[in-house]
Amino acid sequence: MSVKKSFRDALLVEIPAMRAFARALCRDRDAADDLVQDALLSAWKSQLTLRDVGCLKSWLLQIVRNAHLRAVQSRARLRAEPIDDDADYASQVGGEDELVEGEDARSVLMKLAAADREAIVLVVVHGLSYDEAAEVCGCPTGTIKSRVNRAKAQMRTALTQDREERGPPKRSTPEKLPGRAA
Amino acid sequence: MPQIVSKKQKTLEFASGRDASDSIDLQIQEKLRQSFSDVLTEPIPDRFLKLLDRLSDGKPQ
Repeated sequence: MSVKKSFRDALLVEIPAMRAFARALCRDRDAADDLVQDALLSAWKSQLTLRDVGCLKSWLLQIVRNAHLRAVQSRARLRAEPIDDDADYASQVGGEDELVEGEDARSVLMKLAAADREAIVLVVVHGLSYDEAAEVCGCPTGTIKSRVNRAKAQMRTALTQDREERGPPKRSTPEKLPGRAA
Repeated sequence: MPQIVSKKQKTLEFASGRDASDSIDLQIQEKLRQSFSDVLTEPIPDRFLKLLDRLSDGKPQ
């Protein structure tokens, strides 16, 4: 099998993880898939920089994240809005309503700060170690641990409140439902 | 009279609290993984298959 074909097959295996991470970042299904497409192109162009095939997943997730940051920066430039840090990047992405529908845990997740959200998704959903997640996010391992702990604490509170006090969380945004009276 | 709590009792209480916290963490993990199970298990869309085929065939984008 050629190197190109084997790299293609390796990328294919990781596409579901890339899509899941992209959705956590973008909070929009279509935008997430566009992001994955950009990331696949970037990964293909820079495949020679991958030193350890065992790190393929975290390498790809890092590319997805970088592509996301570029896209958010680009949108912010168009709107002439200043961006200070990573949390601001992702917090400026809209499209939340579509994906939170029908998903309790996901809807809570999508309300977390961007930095906390990406940390918990990398560690809990994708099973990356704290060190790997830190490399993806370009920050110290301790920062990732703090973000994961903070995200877990917020999810714990929100999910417990949902269960005990409010009942099932709202599944849709009433003002966006067609034909619904105000 | 102040109540005397043995070291063993304290350890048990701590362990019990930690168990409860671990259990909630496990529930959160499970819920999070479930919430992404659709995208993690659904078939890969054609657009990505075609893209990778074009790239591996050396066709320009």
